[in-house]
Amino acid sequence: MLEVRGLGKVFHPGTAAERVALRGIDLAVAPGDFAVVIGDNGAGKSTLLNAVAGDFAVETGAVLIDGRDVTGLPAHRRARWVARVFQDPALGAAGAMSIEENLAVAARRGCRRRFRAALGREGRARDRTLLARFGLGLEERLRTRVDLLSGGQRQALALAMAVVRRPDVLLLDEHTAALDPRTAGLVMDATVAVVGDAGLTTLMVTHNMQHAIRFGNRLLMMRQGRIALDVSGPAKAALTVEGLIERFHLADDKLLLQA
Amino acid sequence: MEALGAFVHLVPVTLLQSLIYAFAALGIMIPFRVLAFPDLTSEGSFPLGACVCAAVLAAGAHPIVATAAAVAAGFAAGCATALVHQHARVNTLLCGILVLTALYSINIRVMGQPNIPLFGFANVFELALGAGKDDTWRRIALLGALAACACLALWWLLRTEIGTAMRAVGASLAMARAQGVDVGLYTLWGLGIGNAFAALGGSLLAQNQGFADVNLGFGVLINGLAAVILGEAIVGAQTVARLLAAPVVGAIVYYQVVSMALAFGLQPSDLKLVTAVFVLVMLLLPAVRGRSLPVRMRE
Ligand SMILES: Nc1ncnc2c1ncn2[C@@H]1O[C@H](COP(=O)(O)OP(=O)(O)OP(=O)(O)O)[C@@H](O)[C@H]1O
Ligand SMILES: [Mg+2]
Repeated sequence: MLEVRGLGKVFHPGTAAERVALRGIDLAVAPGDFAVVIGDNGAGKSTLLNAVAGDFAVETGAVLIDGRDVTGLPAHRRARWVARVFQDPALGAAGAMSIEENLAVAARRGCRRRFRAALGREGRARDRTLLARFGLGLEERLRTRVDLLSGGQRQALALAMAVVRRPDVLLLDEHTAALDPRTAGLVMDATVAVVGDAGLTTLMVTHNMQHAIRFGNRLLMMRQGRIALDVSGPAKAALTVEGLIERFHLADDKLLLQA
Repeated sequence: MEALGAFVHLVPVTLLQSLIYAFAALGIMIPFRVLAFPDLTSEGSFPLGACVCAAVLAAGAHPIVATAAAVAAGFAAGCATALVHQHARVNTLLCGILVLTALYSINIRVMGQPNIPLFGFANVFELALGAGKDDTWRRIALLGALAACACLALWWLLRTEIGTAMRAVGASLAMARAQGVDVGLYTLWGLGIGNAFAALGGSLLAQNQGFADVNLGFGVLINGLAAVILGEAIVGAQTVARLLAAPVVGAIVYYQVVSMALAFGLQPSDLKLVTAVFVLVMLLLPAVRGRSLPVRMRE
């Protein structure tokens, strides 16, 4: 359960470069909800996700996870509950380390790290089962250095790292945007599979209208730092790309192009 | 021919010296390679180790106590650099320069004078080798065993959950943070451990040569970096084992090469220039070949 109350964020306050990114966001995401977040460039989608993850202090409001106020905690302490996949495939996993080493680091997210061998038979078995679900053959390449992987493989690994230890909240910020359409499709399918199976509470940002229509049980549209539209359940299921664009006058070129 | 003879004659002494500097090279490798934090503190923590060790020995303490005190002081120096970086948000290189400059004064304070002769005091060589303490080859065997133990300990450490998280900090800050690794804390420990090794090298040098001087080990950072780079060219850096072998192998080869160059007439005063050019060339070579620089910086 993720709750955001009156969240406000201003970048560079009091300077000429001042930018209001979030204007009082109120949002409750129920356990197991898969909410897709859309909106034009600069609407505040990434800022919302980053605020939940704890990348920076917010001016107003609070973030609660399972009723716990985490507003004052830095990102690495929130990682106990929050897992994320970035847009940039270079950020999610460490290139100089192997697939299994990356997964070993992720497997202890939020736990006390010990003076105990990071790699072992158990971990390897867990990694194989997890990676096999992505259908990219990564389970056979546990010792491969991550910088030898393609962008799509890296995103699949980042997703595996996010879910290897069950997160209370999963944040996906355009995690397929840097991939070619086919690989993006594969990673999206894997996302839906792992999120659905585990019933993870998820916020996913996308510019892909079809993905926004097809996936998730809730749709949030942001505009100028506010949530302009919030549909879920049957209403969300009934949405069409055309209907969405028509109803809400999405004038953003990027959205139209991708739709 | 005469020059070659002179070089061969010096091989054991040079080997002994290089094994001492191997600890400094290990201590330089940890922040540079494991943490991607170009830490210059070792230029100050190496003489710090020598000075603390000498002061404690001169006060009549046991050599193990003196060496341990040196290691602890080095650890603290590394922590100081990490704390300056975190709290003052100062550039990594500048943090190291600040701390190593301060250490120069501290080193003199610690000793109460710019140098301390240690003849007549017990040292680790006497402790371990007894009557054979002045035999160069025995000292080499002792330091070789110590270096092997240090590498084994680090090898074990870097493969634990904690060590893997530390490597993650150097490999990707974004990934480390997202996976709940406290980057500040791991950087503190990493710099502490690295400078503890540098200080250990300094304390061994003081005990080996029988005196400590505040200027001892001048240029140790660039020499150590040269050793790390040379070692990586020889054994590679793809695995944890190679990463750890590189500084030791590199130090051994580097000091023999230097000894040979000196035997063949290189002016000792030109040595720093030659080393600096060597490090620069080795740093730039991969860039010329279109690969990334071997000294990575944090974003
Ligand atoms: N680090 C920052 N410094 C200054 N301003 C920022 C920063 N990050 C975001 N902003 C500003 O905050 C606003 C919201 O940006 P945000 O990145 O959240 O948009 P977004 O909805 O994710 O857009 P996009 O679809 O382009 O990714 C924008 O006006 C942006 O310029
Ligand atoms: Mg964004």
